[in-house]
Amino acid sequence: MKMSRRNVFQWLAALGAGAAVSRVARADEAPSAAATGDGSYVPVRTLNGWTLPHRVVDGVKEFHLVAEEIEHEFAPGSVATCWGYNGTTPGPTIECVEGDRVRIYVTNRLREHTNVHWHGILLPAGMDGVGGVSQRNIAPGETYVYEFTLRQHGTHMYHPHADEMVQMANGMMGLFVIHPKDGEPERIDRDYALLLHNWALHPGTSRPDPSVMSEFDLWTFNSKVFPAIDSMVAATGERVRVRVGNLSMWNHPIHMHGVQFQVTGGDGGRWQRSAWRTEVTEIVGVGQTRDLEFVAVPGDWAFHCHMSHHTMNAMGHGVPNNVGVDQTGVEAEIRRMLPGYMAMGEAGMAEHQDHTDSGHMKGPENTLPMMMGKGPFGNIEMGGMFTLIKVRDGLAKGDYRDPGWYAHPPGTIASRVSTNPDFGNPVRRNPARSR
Amino acid sequence: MSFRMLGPLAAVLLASCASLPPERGNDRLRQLAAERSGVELALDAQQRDAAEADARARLAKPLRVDDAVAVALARSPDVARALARLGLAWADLVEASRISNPTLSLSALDSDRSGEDTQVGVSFSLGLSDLLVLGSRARIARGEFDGAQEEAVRELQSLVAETRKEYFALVGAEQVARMRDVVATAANAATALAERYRIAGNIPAIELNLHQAEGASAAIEAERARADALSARASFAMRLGLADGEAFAVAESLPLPAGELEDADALVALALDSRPDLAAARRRAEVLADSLGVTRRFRWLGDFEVGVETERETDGARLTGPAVSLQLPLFHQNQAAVARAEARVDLAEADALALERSIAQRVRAAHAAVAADRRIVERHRTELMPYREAVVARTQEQVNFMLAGPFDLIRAKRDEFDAYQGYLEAVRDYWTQRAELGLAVGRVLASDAHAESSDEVRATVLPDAAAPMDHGSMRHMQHGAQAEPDSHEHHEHEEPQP
Repeated sequence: MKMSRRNVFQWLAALGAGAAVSRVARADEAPSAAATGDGSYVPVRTLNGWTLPHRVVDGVKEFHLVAEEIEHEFAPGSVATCWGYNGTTPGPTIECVEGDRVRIYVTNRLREHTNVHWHGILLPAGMDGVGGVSQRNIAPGETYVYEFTLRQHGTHMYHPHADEMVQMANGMMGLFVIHPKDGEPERIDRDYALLLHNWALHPGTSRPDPSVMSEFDLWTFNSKVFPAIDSMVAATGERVRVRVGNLSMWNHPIHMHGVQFQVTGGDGGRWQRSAWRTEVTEIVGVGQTRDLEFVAVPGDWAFHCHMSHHTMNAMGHGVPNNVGVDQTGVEAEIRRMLPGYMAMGEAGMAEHQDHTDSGHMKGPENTLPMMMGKGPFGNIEMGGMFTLIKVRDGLAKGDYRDPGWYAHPPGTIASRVSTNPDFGNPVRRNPARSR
Repeated sequence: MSFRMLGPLAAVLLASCASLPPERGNDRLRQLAAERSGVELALDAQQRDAAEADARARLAKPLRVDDAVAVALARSPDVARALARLGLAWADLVEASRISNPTLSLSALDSDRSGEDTQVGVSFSLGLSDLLVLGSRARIARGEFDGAQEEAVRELQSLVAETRKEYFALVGAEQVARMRDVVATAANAATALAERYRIAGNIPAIELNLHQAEGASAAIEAERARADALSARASFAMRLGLADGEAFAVAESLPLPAGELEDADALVALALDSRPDLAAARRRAEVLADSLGVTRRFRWLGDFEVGVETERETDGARLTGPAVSLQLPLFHQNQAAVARAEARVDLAEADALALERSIAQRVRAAHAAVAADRRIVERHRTELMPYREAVVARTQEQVNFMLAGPFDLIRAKRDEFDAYQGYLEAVRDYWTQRAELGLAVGRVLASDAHAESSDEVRATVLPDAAAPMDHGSMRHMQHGAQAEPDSHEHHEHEEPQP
């Protein structure tokens, strides 16, 4: 498959996601994701991201990464000064085929040294990119070159191994996908890739805080939070792969609605078919990758981390629990001195998104509400590591345009039968407790 | 000495009496008071009636600081006291300006011889030393009286300064007390809220107890502030000389400072030129130097009397003749008096110098304090208050996004209240210090005319009592947007702004 410059633009226009377009547009020089050798493949689609173009010099695929400070938008309303590669976080996906010889230039435009560790890739020790151990670090302004032959396939990653805590907390990371030279045992129609990360972008700030180990503010797929994460689009019956890498500091149980997927690969490359497992949730541990494959079923299906706090944007921790607190009267007293005060959450937090969406409850600058997103049936009340798999009948191959909301066939949608809580005669224990 | 001899003497005395102004020096006093203190003194009955009417009119409305000063001048016993003391000084002057009255002595001596008449003696004598020193003595007394006038003006200045200080102390104290009430209300709201969290089972008892303790502390603070305000009110009423139970009110808010302060050097020079007590001290040194001269001149003169003595002897004979009595300067020639007079001059000169030095220091210190207080006020106005308000606004934003809790918000508001109290106290201190500076300089400052901004220390931090209490709890609003696919447009919420 060959993609011309025009194709790319059509492709991007089809995407329709502004943020994604602006990022990917940087790749418009030569996004030649064409397969080489005999291993033709469907190019990986890095959600909200892009694939690094390369050129072939004397049979070696040459890539050029630039480590640099960037401005990154997590979703409209939250922009931060981050570090990344070639203008983005995650850096562009490096995509190759097993057996390729690759030469990767790394230019350091940061103000401190860096290097690149090719996480999970088999290579000579001197190419492993561990500062002090296997190489001198790349000083600011310097360019180093790494060169090795890919002797494996699978979903891999790259990241710095110099001042690693700070550089990764700031967003330096990327995916390194190696397609098997012998092709896939099952034809893959769509191949999505995403990298999990966490960010201590405290409310009201605009630079991640590297000192945080567990109380993170933003949980991201490819450095984006819902609702800014692109949907994964597929045609009914297509075989879809979702490659998930984790460079965050938490393990993430990645859960997919609508199907049972098969786990078909990971850091160890594409697994033997006999090793494939059928799951609906797969924990992707820190520093791990997993390939999830499924046959697409029509509908709009949630795809998310099952740690429920990871599907929220910035949250307060340790704030008083409002559930069940009747503030009648007291609220009025407080409003006398604090006119903006509003009692919230007595019944739960379901109302919260209405307040924040309507704009009358302004939050800290550069901070996203914790619950976001609108669907055809109301608020989605999600953030962070959440997106949708949108499957429709008859989508053309390579059509990644968002198909809109799913039209449910009659009789296949939950519907209201009563507005009276006394409806029916359900068995309840201790019914006096609730109203 | 015949009575005829007394004629020319009387003429001299009368002349010296006539040199005293009939208005008892009041014109100069009024002029000094107006010039140095910027106040109108009521000295006669007509002026006093007018001042009283003016005071009543002013008391009918909330007092501004100038009203307070006018009322104090009309009412304060300090004024009457100062004027009474001046009356004493006037009496001294009058006395010193006249020769002592002659002495008439009568005596009747019974004879032990039977049949003899009682011996009757009449003598009329006049202290002649008085006559000799009269001119000097009158001049000295005049000096003393001038000094007394300066001191009276100083007392008035002191009254004005204290009135101003206590005025601002009272306005500040009442403002702080109102604010402390609001803080107590805030703490009370926090406690009430904590009770609701406790009822819901969401906080442990200790957390409720902490809020309760804070609420009680705030209530105690409010009580203290109220007591302080009452005490300030009593002091102020006393300073003004108000009758028991006489109603009055002061302005609700302290005025903000405005204008530029004079340069310290200029104020020191002005003070040395203006301070009535310094003028009085210098005058006293002059007067004592004069006295020293007189004492020296008449040091040989003891007690010298001339007189006429008439005696009727027991036999009925009448003997009349002049009498002179004088102390003979044999054993001393009044050296003690001279030494005392010299020491008094030295002392007075040392006092005047000490006062001069201390005035310069006090003016500089007060000037620096006013300038510092002004900067503190400005920092409150342009930095601390806006920052504290911003902290509340930012905390509100955090609460909106459930990143902070309501107690954080109330805490932030209380910190803002505390900052506001500091602001009020800074403004109060500024005005107090400015009154102190005025007193130190001893003259109305040119900058006083533009010292008060038309703006007052208004609290955006304080809830407006007129503002509506509530805009309706969001809890009661309907958020049924989940029910139907076509009904998920935004609900129009009331804006929470007042």
